[in-house]
Amino acid sequence: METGVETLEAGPALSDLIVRDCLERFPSVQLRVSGECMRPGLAAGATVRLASPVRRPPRLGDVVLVRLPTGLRLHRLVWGPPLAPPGTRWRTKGDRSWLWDPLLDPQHVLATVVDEGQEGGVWRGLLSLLGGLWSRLRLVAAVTHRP
Amino acid sequence: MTSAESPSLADVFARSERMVGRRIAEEYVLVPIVGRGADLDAIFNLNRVGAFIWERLDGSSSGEEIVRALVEEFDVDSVRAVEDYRAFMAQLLSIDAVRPCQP
Repeated sequence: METGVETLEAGPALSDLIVRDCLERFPSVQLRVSGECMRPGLAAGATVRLASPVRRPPRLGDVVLVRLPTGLRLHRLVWGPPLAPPGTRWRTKGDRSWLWDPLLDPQHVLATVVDEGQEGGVWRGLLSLLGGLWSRLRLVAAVTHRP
Repeated sequence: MTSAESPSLADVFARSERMVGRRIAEEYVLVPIVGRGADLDAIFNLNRVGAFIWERLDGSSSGEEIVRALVEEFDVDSVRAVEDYRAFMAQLLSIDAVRPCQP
């Protein structure tokens, strides 16, 4: 017989379940930022408060907790409601990243950051979207004009 | 209680209001509460025996009663059950997951 308390190292499926369960049970959850991709708005070590997409539907420019192929990420929604038509896929992007994340189904957005300081999020989202578009065009140009 | 590191079997504990136990999929996890929300950075995992003990920390059952239940439920002798129970309680105390109660 072995008892014990261990810090949980959850895989992707379990961590999604835990996040969704806590977001259903509690008005909000808090999470510590671990990467630098959202600097300067969100620096590593900062704590953010999140609410479920039901309580706080994500909108263009919001920072959202999203399930990407690379794992759970706090990235900005650069294409989504109210501009994205219902039933279509959305886009996220790290503020410091050059490129968009892969297209994602809305159900892969697990939570929305609800901390204050999100003013101007729509403009940040649109600028980030255009930044990603510009990077993509440069990439295409570099490939097509290769000597 | 003799000390935080070595709770006595006569001690009675209750689950802290700052920690919630949740059974999710096949796992039993303890989620700390901060303000009105949950802290996802500090989730703890309990195995089957730990969850069994956790669910009995109701503020009225003593360690002796819980150890007796352990011996009945699991294939274990009482000496080992006492050791494991005390070690487990020390761990729960160290993360403020339980609070001592008057018997």
